[in-house]
Amino acid sequence: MATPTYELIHTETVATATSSVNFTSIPTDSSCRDFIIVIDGTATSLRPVLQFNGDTGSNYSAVMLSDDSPTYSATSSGTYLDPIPGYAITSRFSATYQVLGSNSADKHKGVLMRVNQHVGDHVHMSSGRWASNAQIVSVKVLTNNGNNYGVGTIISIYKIAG
Amino acid sequence: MGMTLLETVNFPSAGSTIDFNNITAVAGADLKIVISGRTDASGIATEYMMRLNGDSSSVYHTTGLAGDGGTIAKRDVGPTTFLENLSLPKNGATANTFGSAEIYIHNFSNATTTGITFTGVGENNATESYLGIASWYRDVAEAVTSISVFGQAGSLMQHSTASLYLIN
Repeated sequence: MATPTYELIHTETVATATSSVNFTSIPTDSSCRDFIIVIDGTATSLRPVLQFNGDTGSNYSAVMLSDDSPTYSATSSGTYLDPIPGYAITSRFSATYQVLGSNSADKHKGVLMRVNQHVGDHVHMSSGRWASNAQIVSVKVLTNNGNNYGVGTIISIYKIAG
Repeated sequence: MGMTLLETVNFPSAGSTIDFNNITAVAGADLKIVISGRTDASGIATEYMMRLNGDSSSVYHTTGLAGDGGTIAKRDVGPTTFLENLSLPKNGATANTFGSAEIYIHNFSNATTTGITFTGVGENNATESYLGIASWYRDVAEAVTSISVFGQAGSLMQHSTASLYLIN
């Protein structure tokens, strides 16, 4: 029997503009080795960032390659995982985050990220790390500055077995 | 629910385009295309190109990065009559090598503009080998019902394949 992939575990369509969506009950068994977050939506000025397990400590870092110039940049010891440090989403965008080894209890968590600013005309590729050995049981999709995701924005989480 | 194979296109002989037609709408779902391709044109690499819904008007925007083994270049074009980005090998690349690409179409059934994520890597046993990432965007507010992918130069060669997956 084929191993199931991209099994949807949560999805939410933003009905009222909001700055954060919290997804809980992320599986920690073998049905969820990795999980993928996909956002397709709109915004006026924000960066779509993540926090795991409610951790607001300075435990997040990332490096980014951007088409803008092109640029390479990095952040460390941030309080959220930021896929596009120094940039701002200003309109239509899409983003994906693949969280690797999310059910592991003995290593830090790596994250591969892509953000497209479809109208702002930028493409960004980045990788990040959450400095924690804890299994991920929840993820909060928030914004760096408290600004809201637009109505109609879809945020989905898929799990990949391993 | 999950990732479901909708269709695979094989090229037992050279063909000009990859076509996925009559795609059934699924609310909130995404599409993913995985391509193994090579064209019969001379040279090392060319562009993947894509159109949606048979639309060849100037409504497509590409913002991307492409590397050739030595330099990296930004691509920011639009509106044009197709989506595009490098990494599809031509027939001058090392024999039997095929490029790999993934095209992810977000929320394809919504009657909104279409956002697409492109990632591609060519193959060539030499320094000159191409890879590219891109943000693709179609500035028309309608659902996606058909997809056409092709190379800028040449026809897709025998053994090229493309698979379309539904993700929901």
